[in-house]
Amino acid sequence: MTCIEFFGENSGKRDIYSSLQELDNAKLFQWENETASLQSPGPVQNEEILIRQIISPHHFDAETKKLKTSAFTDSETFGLSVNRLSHTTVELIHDVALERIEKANINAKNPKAFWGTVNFFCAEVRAIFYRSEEGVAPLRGFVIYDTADPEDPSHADIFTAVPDKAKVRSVRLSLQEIANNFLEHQPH
Amino acid sequence: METLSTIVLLASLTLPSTVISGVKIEKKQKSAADLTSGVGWGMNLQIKKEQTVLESRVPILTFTEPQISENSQNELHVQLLQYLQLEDGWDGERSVRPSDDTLQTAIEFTNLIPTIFPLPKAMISSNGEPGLYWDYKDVFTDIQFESLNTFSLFSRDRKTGKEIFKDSIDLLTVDSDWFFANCDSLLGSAEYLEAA
Repeated sequence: MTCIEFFGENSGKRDIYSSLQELDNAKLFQWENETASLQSPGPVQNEEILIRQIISPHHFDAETKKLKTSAFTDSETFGLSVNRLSHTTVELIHDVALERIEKANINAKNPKAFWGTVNFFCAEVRAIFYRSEEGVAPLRGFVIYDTADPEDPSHADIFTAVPDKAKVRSVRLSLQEIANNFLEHQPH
Repeated sequence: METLSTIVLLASLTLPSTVISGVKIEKKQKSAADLTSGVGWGMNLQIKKEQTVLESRVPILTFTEPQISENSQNELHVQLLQYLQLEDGWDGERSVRPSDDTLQTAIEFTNLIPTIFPLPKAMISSNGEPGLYWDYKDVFTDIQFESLNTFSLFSRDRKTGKEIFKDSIDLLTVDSDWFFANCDSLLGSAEYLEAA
């Protein structure tokens, strides 16, 4: 199975992470060099900046001015959506986010708001490892695929790559730590 | 399964006894109207009945001038109870609201924290799982509530990189000894010692 075939079959599912975990680990990393979508401008490169929209204030700790680890758990299910700055603009990301939220707020009992964005440096995310005891090879924490869609060619997904809950929690914290280095509050 | 009303009543139990005097604790289903009119929250908190939300599955909680100290147990309960207002889609199209069971477990857990320990903060994942966390310079610990009366614990010592993970912990096994055995690093945290 190729990367594009996998995402063709699994796109839109709730738990893509588990399906990825059923595959050989080497394949997960190999697929980062392939394309996941016909609409993609190409695989995500290490030097790219990835922008994550934050729409829930529940993920922000106002006292420490940091995002909570809960802001990143999508990577453990259907993928943590990000936009590739090389293929869009910050303004467009903000406009699309506001438009999406406006649409979602029609008849909503609890209206949402656009809280802000987090910028990731792709190479940094790919450099997150789970390290267990000495002598055991470290495991890469995340993989990033170019899951573009027709309306948003800059779309990509970050998926957790480690297999069990202890490792998942560990790399989740590491992702939160690098995310908080590049936090941009965008009051609407 | 415990009902939503039970969660609110359990939370009430943690407040000073004067707050809930005269309230009979019942483990049976109540309507949203019962919830909004029957339970007192003391001087600081009130649940207001709002006509526009009576048809929703859970009542909207309106907090009037909470005036509670930062990171107090009341505030923690408020944070957790606020999650009851969430609907599916609260954090993107595929996000889901938390279950009453997991929120109840989270609230019950907070009631078991010995007073010598710092209080955690609340969080919630897009898959609806509530959690608690302590985020200090030298230690990070979080608790994730995945089902009724069950949770997992993760902790990283930021100085040594040493990590601990315990899964499927039964809430019934949690007491003071459990906290000293599993969360003692929080007591040694420089930030906590400074605050204390």
